Amino acid sequence: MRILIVDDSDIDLCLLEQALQKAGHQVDCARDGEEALNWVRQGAHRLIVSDWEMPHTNGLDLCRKVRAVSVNYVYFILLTSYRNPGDIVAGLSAGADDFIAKPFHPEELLLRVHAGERILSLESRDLVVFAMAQLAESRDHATGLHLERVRCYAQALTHRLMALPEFADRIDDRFARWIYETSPLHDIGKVGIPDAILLKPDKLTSEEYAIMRTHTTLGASTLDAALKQFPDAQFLRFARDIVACHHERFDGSGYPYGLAGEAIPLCARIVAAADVYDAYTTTRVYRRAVPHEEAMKIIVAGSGTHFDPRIVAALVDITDEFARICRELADPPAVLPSPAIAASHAQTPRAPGRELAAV
Amino acid sequence: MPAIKSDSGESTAAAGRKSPAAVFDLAALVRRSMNDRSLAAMLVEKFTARLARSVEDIQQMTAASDWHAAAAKIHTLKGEAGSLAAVHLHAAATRLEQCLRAGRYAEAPSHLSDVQGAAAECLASAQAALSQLAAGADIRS
Repeated sequence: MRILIVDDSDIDLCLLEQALQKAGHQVDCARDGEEALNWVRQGAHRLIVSDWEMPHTNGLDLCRKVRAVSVNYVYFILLTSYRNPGDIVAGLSAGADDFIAKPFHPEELLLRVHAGERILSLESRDLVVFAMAQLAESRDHATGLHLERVRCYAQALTHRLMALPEFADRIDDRFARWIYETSPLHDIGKVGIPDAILLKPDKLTSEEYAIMRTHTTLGASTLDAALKQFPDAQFLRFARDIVACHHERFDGSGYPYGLAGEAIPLCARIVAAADVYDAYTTTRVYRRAVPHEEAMKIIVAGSGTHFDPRIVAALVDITDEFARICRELADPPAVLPSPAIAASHAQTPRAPGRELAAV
Repeated sequence: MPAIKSDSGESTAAAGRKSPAAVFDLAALVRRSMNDRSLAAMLVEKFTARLARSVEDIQQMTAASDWHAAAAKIHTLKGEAGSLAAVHLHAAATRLEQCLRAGRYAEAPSHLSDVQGAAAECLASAQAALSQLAAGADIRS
C-alpha cells in the first residue's frame, strides 16, 4: 500500500519510513500539513500516519482537511504522546481512525496499518459485490438504475424499522450496512435464465414462468457454493437470504419455498417491498410506470398478504423519501410499450404474468 | 559480533559517566530501526549534532517566559529522544513539558536543569554509542 507519513521531525520520519518500507509499503513523506495536503489532493494514498503536534497545521487540523478534500476514504492514524480521554475524543472527533503512541513500536505500527488495510478492503468488497450484481443485470437492458434504487429503498426502510422498539434487537448498524451492500444481489440468479425467457417482451407462459422463478434458487446455489468455502462469512449468509427469499409472500403463497410470516428472513421481506415498489414505478418495454401514489396503494393493498404489515407501515411512514429516491434516480426516458403488449400485461396485485415473474 | 543488551546500570569506567547503553537503549533503538545499525547510527549522529542548540533554545525561551514556544520545542526534543531511546533525556523532557503545559512555570528551572544534565550525558556517550552500533554488520531480522 502507498502510505503518506507526516511529521515535522526528520528523525521520526526516517524511522517511520524505514519500518513501513521494510514491510513492503510504498512511502511518501511530508514535513508539514501543507505538504501533506498537496499529496492528498493527488489522491494517491489511502492511508496516512501523521504526528499530532506540528507547527502551523497540526495532526487534527490535517485530518479534518483530509476528510474534506478526499474523494476516496483515507484511513488516518494519529501518532501522539497524548493519552488522556479528552485527547482521544478530540482525535476521533476530527475524524482519526486510530492512534499510535509515541515513541512507536514498529510491530504495533505495522499491525495498526494492517488493520487499516482490512477496513479499506471492506470498501473494495462493496464495489465488487455491486459490480457482480450489475453484471447479472446487464443482459436485461431495461433495468437501468434498478439496483441503485432498490438498495436505497431497502436502506431507507431499514433505518425506519431500526427506530421501532420491536426491531431494536434485530436491526443494528451492521444489518443496515449489509442490506445496502447485498440487496443489489437479489436477482443474481437471473444469469441462469435463458434470454428467450428473460428478455421476452410478451407475457410468459406458465412453463416459462416456472423457469423464471428458478432465479431465486439458482442465485441461492451460487452463494451456497461460496459459503462452503467461507462458512463463517455472515455477510454471505445475509445475501443468500435475500437472494433466495425476496419472492416469498407474507401469507405463504410466494416462491420458491412457500415460507410465511416470520419464517421469511427479515432482510428478504424488506427487499421484497423495495423491489416491488421499484417494479411498479419504472417503465419497462412491456409496461408503463405507475405514479408513486398508485404504487403505494398497490403496496398497501398487499399488506398482510404479499408484504409484512409492519414493513408496509414503515414504507407509508417514509413515503416521501421513496418518492424522492424514485425521482432522483429515475431512468432516462425509455421506449414506451405498444398498446397491444401493455394490454397483454393488464395488472392486478395478484395477477400472474411477466411483470410479477420478473419481480 | 557483540550483542547489544539493554543495560540500565551505572558504568564503572568513569566516575559519574554512564555507559552508552544506559544513556541510549541501543537494543530498543536497533529494533526501532528495523535492525539497521547504520540507520540507527546516522540518527544518533543527527540528533546529537543539534542537541546542544535545542537545549539552549529551550533555556532562552524559558528565560524569556515564552512558555508556549518552550513547550513546543521541548515536545519535539521529547519525541526525538523517545524515538532514539535516550531514556533519561526522554523522561526529563517529559517532566519539563508537563510542567510547562500545566502552567507550573516556577518548576521550570528545576526540570530544565534535569534536561540539561541528561542532554550532557547523551553528548558524552554519543561516540561510544556510535562505536557500538558500528561494530559488526547490519542486523536484519
